[in-house]
This record gives sequence, structure tokens and C-alpha cells, in this order.
Amino acid sequence: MRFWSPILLLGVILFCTPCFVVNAQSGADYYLEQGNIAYRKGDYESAFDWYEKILSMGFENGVVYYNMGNCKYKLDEIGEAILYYEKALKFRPDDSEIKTNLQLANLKVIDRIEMPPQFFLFQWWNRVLNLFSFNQLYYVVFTFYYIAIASILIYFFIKSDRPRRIVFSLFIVSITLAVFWGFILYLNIKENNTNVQAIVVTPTVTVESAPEESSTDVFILHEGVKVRLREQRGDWVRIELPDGKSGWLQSSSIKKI
Amino acid sequence: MWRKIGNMKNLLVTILPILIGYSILFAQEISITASVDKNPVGLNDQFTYQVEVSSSSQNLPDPKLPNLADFSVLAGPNTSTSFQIVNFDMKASKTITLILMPLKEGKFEIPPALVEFKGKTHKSNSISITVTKGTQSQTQRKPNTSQDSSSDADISESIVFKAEPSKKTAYVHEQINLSYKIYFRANIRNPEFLKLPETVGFWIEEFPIKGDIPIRQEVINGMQYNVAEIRKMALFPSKTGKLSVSPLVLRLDVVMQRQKRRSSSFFDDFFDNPFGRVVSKEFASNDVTIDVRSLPEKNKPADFSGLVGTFKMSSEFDKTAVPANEALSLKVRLSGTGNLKVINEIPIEIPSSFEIFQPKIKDKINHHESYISQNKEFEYVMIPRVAGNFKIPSISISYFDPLKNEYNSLKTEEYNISVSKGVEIPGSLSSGYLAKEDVRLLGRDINFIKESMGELTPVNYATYKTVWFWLLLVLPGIAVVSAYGYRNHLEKISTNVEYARKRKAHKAAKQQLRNANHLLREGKISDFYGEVSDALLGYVADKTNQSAAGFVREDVEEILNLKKVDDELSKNYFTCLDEADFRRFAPGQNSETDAGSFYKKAEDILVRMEKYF
Repeated sequence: MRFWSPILLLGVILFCTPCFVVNAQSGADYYLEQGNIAYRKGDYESAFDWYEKILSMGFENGVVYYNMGNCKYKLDEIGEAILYYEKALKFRPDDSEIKTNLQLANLKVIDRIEMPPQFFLFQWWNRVLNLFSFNQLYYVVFTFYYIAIASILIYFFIKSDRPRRIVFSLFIVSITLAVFWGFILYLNIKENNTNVQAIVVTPTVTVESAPEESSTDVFILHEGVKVRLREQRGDWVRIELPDGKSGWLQSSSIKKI
Repeated sequence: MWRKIGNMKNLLVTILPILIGYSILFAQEISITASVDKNPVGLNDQFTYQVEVSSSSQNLPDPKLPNLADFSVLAGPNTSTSFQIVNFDMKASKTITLILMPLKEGKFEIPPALVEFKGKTHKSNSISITVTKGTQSQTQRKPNTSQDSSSDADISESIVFKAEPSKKTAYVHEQINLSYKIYFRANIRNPEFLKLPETVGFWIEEFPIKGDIPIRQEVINGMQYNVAEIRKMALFPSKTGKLSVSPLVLRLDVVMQRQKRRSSSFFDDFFDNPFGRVVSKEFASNDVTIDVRSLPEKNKPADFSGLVGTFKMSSEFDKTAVPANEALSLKVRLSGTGNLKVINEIPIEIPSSFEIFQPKIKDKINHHESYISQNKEFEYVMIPRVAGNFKIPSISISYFDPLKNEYNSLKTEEYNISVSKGVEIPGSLSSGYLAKEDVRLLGRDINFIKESMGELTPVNYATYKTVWFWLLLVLPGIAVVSAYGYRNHLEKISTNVEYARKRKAHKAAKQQLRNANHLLREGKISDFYGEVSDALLGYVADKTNQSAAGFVREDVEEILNLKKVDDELSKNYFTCLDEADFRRFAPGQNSETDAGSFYKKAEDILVRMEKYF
């Protein structure tokens, strides 16, 4: 009994967490509904406020961000619209509606940043990296992991030779896939935590060569451009564009995705 | 016909005709000049000495004439006054004329005449006069046989054409004024330029001459001349070195003052041209050479663009807050004297999102008395395409000031332009960049919102941070490891006797003790003790994989020592064994309670023994 009690407690806690989520869900559903009503009436500002209430409850998902992006798009705040679409896309990477709206919003961005052509192997690699969303990656990794576990357990206790060999090769294949996708998941998590991306939300921002107002202007960015954050120093951040240009700007002019 | 009547009387011209008007007098200022009509003078010649006082005041004082002891006064002093109003300027002049004759040869100085005006004494110039032997007028008259040549000589004496630069050395691009002046004592008319000067290496700006040419009086060498500045230009040298301006050639009609025929009748005189004989003659001005220096290299600003002179700059935005796609205008005004012509655009830096058009340039040249000033206004129209706050940095233009000999720079102020969102012009800026598939999307509305919530996740939720994740990850691993251990155990038991006996020793001993307990309950007490003894011995035998039969006490002792079994425990073990052996073979004294406690003891020993094997 003494041995089992902590596990039992843990189990109870883990079991109840979804209950809280379910409870919160009903409140969030109400806000979403109110937001949708306002949106249908064309009152995009209050629709946005309703959706934002869901975030202030401490919950988020692709739907909320997508709807918020739509509100901002209708309010002609393209930078913010792109910001929310990008956020939504993180939750639903293969949602075609989000992708289309993001593309439409990007059409209104003034700066066209030409991506340098990539070596085809890198293109493939990037495609592999972005094939699944986080949740999907977790499912993939765990599926292969459990297939591997099950097959090795069967392998341990099977006596006859032929099935053993089959089971063992199944184990090898599934453990390899689990490790591979686990590695991809790890890279994605690392990328997500270290390479923070942001969207320019002010109409124009001058990128300086140093984190000072008086330094030389390097180039100018307009609302909606996606940048990568590289360094932070006080109010200034060093950003980098996909084509390799980099410089400092004030952190108030961008918002992290 | 006219020429035949050319014998002229040597009447000395006393007062030169007033041609157009005097223009050099200043308000309430008095000027006094002295002059002679010829210099040098022959010993027996008469000449006129004239002192002129002029002012804008009507009450002109009489000048005090100098000591003229070296000359004999033939006539005078005669006083004549004139009064005129030109351009609302009053001008009065009083002229005192003396006809003098020198008494001896040599050089004489006529000291200045004085005039007192408003308590101040003004001095005229002094005149040095040379008296030569013989009659000067006779030498003049000598070539009288050829009338033209005689008048030529007269003309060359009475008319001088000069080019006068304001300075002879100048910096590149610095303004130099060049004026062409006619000094004349005769009546002249109809100036006509025959050949304009060649000005290689200069950029020229002409001063316009409007209407009548003002005539001034100037005394040169004691002789009074009328001076007319007939042409004036500003020169801006564009290269260094000695630059020259070739002479200006001019034709003038000169009206020769007729020398009245000595033996002339009244009618001759009458029929003479009242204005005298007209001679047309060409005059060439002198060459002008100007030494042009290059600008100093010291402190030369990097953005110096060749402006030389003195300038001012101002700038103005018509508005500083504007919606996007609406035009703004920036006016930059440059004014001053110098070569403003070289500036054709202003180095302004504007944000890249501003569209800027070619500037409208308004250029105005103002000609002043002695310099040329210029106003140049650049109007830039620009259209901001994107909202935001923009900084227009100050414009700076540098120039060289030849007067102060240094470089200066002009700066306008800095402007902050705030551009608000304006009416969007579809495709105004971005359409140029659109790819084909993008064009297809243009004008399409976004997809509608999603209406169902789906699954929510807490903000900043990451699966790998949850306990579930780690449990699900680690627990199967533990299962595999334990399964592996269990399988190995099973395998060893089935294949390895020693391992099997060892692993089963405790179980077997316990089983035997349980059997012994059964025997005890059935009352077979000696069997009970036998069983317990077997269990104790068998346990050690199993653990060491030896046969229990023939297992002697010494062997057991050795094993227990080897396994470093606690002394007390091994002592208990042996007492237990001894007691079992003893009781087994002495059944009479055995009670069930004793047996019960013995059983407990044996069980306890076995449990404690387990950890040593």
C-alpha cells in the first residue's frame, strides 16, 4: 500500500487535469460564440476583444488565433493579422484556410524579401522538419516507440524461431523510426525555443546598425515582415531577415510569434 | 562743305556741356573738385581753372580759392550756379572759373581749394600742372593741315576707353566685376559695340544697363572727365591660372567742339554745325588679365560642390503631418552672391518609401549696383507611400567665402514627418512585385472564421513539459528492462542447476519447515525435529550447490565462515542443529510448546541467513 500511494495520487491528479480543461472549455466556447456573432455583424474590434478573453483565461489554440487574425485583417492591421495567422499555423500547420489567409495578408506587405535559392537537400530536410505539427510529432514518436516496446517484449518471451526473427526486425525498424522522429521533434522544440520569430507591427521601422538611435540606418522594414530574433539588449533587438540582412530595431515595433 | 569751314578759333572750352545729368551727389553732402582744362600747358597758353562745389543743399557756400601766385589771372573769377532736380533729388552746383596763364616753365602745384560747409572744411584735390615751352595749343594745331589727324589727337586725349576689373586676383568661382568705362571730355553719342570680349574660362553674367547711362565726373590728372559706365559684367572664373579677357571694341560718334575760325564772319559761325563736327571712331579697351587661384585645400569640406560667395539657405515643408499617398512639398531656398548656378539639386535624404519628383527650380537674379545676387528656390514634391514617422535629416551645403577666406556650411533644420494611414491606391506599391499566383489571389477575400472551438491548450503548454509525457516515455523502458531480467531468471532456472538450487534454497527450506509443522500437528515430534534439521542443512547445501547427504558439521562451519556469516547467527544455527539432533533421538521429554518455539527459532534463522547468500 505504501508503495502504491504516490502513484495513485499522481494518477488522480493526472486524471483530473482534463476535467479543469473541460470546465474552462465551456467558458471559452461562450467567448468564441460571442466573438463569432460580433464578427458576423462586422464589428471586428469587439470580436477581437471576445477572442482575446479566451487567451486571458490562459488557453490558446489555432482556431482562436486564426479568428483573431481575420479580425485584424478586416481592420487593415496587416502586421497583426500576419502575427496571428502565424501563431495559428503553429497549432495547425496544414490548415489550408490559415495558409490562404496568411498568403492574402502577405500580399499587402510592401517588402518582398527574396529568399536565396536553397540546395535541394536542405529543401528536403526542411520539408521533413516541417512535415508534422508538434502534436502529430508526439503521436508519431510514441506510436513507433510503443510498437518497438511491444515487439521487444514479445521477442523476449517467444520461443519459436521464425516469429522471433520477424518480431525482432519489427523492433529494429520501429525503434529506428521512433529515434529519428524523436530527433526531429527535439530539433523542432529547440528551434521553437531558441529561434524566436517575430512580425513587424508598426507601419515602418528603421533598422539601425547598432542598438542606438544615432547609429546609421541600414534599411527600412514595413509592417508584416517576418524576422528572426537573434539578440536582445535592453529595448533593442537584433533581427535577421531570411536573405541574411540583419540589424537592430526597437523591440516595441515587433511582436513575437 | 562743312569741312571747308573747319578753321576754328582756339576758344577754350570752359564748361563741358551737361549731357544727361549728374548723379553722384549725396544728400546734404558737399563735394568740391578742382580741375584744369589742359595739362600740360604751354608757357603762353591760357587755361581754365575750375572749382566746382556741389551739394543737394540750396545754399552753397563760396569756396575759398587757393593761392595762384604762379599764374596770372586773365579773367574771373566767374561764378555760375546751376540747380536741378533729378529723380526727386535736388542738386545744386556752383562753379568758379578762372582763366589763368602760367608765368614760367616748370612744374607747379595748385593747392586745394577749400569750402566750409556746416562747420566742416572740405578740401578739393590739388593739381600738379606742367608748363612747357611754347604754345601747347600750337603744337596741337600743327597737324591742322590734315583735319582728321588733328581731331584724332584731340579725340585720343579727350576720350579714353578702359576696362576696369574689381580685382586682379581671385579664387576660382569668385565673382569679379568688370566694368567698361568711357572717360570723355567731348560730346559723344551712339555707342556701338563692334566686338565683344572673348572670355574663355569665365562664366559671364551681364549687368543690365537700363535707360540712360548715368554720367559721373571724375578728375584724373587734374583734368575733369565725364565717366560713363557703358557695360558691366560679373565674371566667374571656372578654372585656375592667368585668364585674360580680350578687349571690347566700341564705335562712338564724337562731336568735335569746333574751333572757331579766327577770320570767320558771323555767318560762318552761324552756319557751322552748332554741335560741332561729328567723327565716328573705334576704341578698344585694354586687355584684362586675372590671376585665378585655386581654393584652399585646408578644411575643405567633403561635400563641397564649388559654391563660392556668401549665401544663406532656408527650407520649409508645407506640412509635417500627412496621410499616406498625399503629396508634400519641401522648398529649399538658397540666396546670396556668387555662382549659385552650379547648384542644380539639393542633396536631400528621404526615406525610401517616399516617392520624390524632379525639383521645380525658380531662379531669380537680382542685379545690384556692384554685385549680383541670386535667389534659387528648389521645390521638391514627394509622396509618402507608407504610414509611419519619418525623419528628414538636415540638408547641408558648404561654400567658400572669399571675403573671410574660409569654408562655411549651411544647414537646414531637421524635420519629422508623420504619415498616417491614407487611402490605399490598389496595387500602388506592391503590385510591381507580385508573382503570377499572387495576382490570381488579388481581390479575393479571406476565408471566414472558424466557428467551432476544437481542443484548447493552456498558454505556453508544451507536451514535453508534462508528467504524462515522461511517464509514458520511461515506464515502458522500465518494463522492458524488468521483462528482460525476468526472462533471464527463467532461463537460468531451467538451464542452470546451481542457479536453480540457489534461487530455490529458501523456498525449499521454507517448504520443509511447513512440512515439519504438519508433522508436529500430527504429533510426530521426532520426525518434526528431523525435518527442521534437514531444512537447515539443506538450505546451506542448496545455496552452495552441494549434496546434503554426507554434509558434515565441519563443512557447514567452513561455508558459514566463507560467507562471513555473523558469529551469533552461526552459533544460533549450530545450537539449533544440535538441539534438533538431540530432541530427535530423545523423544520422551519433548513437549509441543518447546517444539513450537523451536520452529519459530529455525524460521527466524533461515530468514536472517538469506542475506548472506
